[in-house]
Amino acid sequence: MFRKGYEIFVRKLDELEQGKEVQKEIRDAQTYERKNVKAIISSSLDKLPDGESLWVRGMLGQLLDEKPWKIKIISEV
Amino acid sequence: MAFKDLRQYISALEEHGELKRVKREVDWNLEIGAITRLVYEKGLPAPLFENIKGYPGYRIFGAPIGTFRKLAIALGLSPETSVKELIDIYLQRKDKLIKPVIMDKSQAPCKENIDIGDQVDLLKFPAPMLHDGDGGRYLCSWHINVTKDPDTGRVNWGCYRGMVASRNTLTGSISPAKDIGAHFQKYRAKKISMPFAIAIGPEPISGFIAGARVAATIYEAELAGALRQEPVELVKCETVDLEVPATSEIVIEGEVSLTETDWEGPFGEFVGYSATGRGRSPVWKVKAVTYRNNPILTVSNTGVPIDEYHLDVGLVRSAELYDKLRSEGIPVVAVNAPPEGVGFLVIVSVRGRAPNIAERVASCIWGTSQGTHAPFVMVLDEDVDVFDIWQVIHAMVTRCHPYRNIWKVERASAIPFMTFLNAHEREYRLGAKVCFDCTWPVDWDTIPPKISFNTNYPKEVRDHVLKNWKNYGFGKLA
Repeated sequence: MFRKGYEIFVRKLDELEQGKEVQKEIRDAQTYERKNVKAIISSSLDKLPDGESLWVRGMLGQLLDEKPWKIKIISEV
Repeated sequence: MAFKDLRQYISALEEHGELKRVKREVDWNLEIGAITRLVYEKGLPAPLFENIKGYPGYRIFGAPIGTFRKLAIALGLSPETSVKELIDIYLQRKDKLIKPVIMDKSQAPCKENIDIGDQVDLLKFPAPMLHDGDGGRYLCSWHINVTKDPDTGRVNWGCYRGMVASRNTLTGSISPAKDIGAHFQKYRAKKISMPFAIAIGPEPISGFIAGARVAATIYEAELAGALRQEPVELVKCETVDLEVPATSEIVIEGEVSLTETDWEGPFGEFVGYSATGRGRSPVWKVKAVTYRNNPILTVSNTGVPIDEYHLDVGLVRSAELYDKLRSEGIPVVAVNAPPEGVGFLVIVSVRGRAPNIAERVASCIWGTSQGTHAPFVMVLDEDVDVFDIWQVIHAMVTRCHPYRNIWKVERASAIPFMTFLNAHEREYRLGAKVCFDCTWPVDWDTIPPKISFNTNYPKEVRDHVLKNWKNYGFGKLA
């Protein structure tokens, strides 16, 4: 019924460095539990085929991209 | 007789057809929010959600006072009571303040369950995810925030949103412009954490009045007593030196940290937008939670009008500004801060024709705590019913000269919810104001005669037509 995967709040899309390991706070898109993770993020499904959905929101809560990005969590911090 | 608790009020709503029991399982994640939002936008009966996914034994009561009909019922009046009549009744009752009474803890329904210290778990309550994109789950959206001035001991009630941050913490912003903000600054200066209590689901008038902006010298519990015409029953908290309505459904007690912050927001706000965004807010550390058996969580889902915030404005601000204008000697006939104006618009009608009356009215309104953040003021002649928006629009476009009769003030205080301001102006609270003078100019010898049924036709003709209305083949006139 609702979105699956994770969500992240950013000021601008280009805050998200793609294809390299970054540390970010994300939240579960269904439970809204927050976690700090080390992860790799990509806007391209092809570049992160085994990643999970990452919905990218602006600071007003709006989706900055209608399609989910991808995130591969390496570890929780 | 005033309602003793929220449950009596819910029963009264049901008797009047203003309550809908939702027995089908609903999800706290957006589904309850979406239903409640639609209820506001269609003016429907308030939903009582009795089957919440993952939360057996808990209930949510949405849109508790989301229409003037429900507000009238909460005040013990006929649901047909007009807005004008509600304002008159508020003015009649408000000055007869009634002190609250203290109930013994053993008698207080809100003490049926007591969780203290490690037992506290805010996650046991079905805090809803109200709007898509909110910063989190909001447990506190229609409630009373209780704080005390550390110097004077004066207690304030407010209604400030609170988001669940963990099992024993909330986050919520504290505006310096609010009474709670003044308290917080004093605690900060003393380097003492600020004690707080949050009473969720009190009897309806206490909940309603907590959200209204009244003078800092007024104790809202006494004003609620005045409006109910009976004292509010309070009970002492378990871990802080504060009192809350004894029949509250859920009471959260604790201290606001002076040093710790957490993310809060964004949130769908009363202006009808997600306006202020995500930011760092103080951490509210919870020391105790007390609650009734099978507690009912009250939920106000703010957004486009009309919801509880707008009803507060529509009644209390209208009444208080009327009182203020009258006390200043302005020949005021009526004041309407219409709910659709989200608190930013005040419409005033005045008697007679006096030079610069519109400027006097606007200056007076902007000089009050009720009106300082109402950047739009319209002033009309007494023949216009300020509660009839169609009449107001007609008067504006026919009497307000688009150049001469619009008085703009370039610099004024603002609040960050004013979405017409740019980002810089919102951050630094740089606003503007405007007054629409929709009164006929005093130096005009001839005023165009108004053409309407009531103003144009001789009384004999009107009476004749009304008497024979059904005979013409029409139905009953509304």
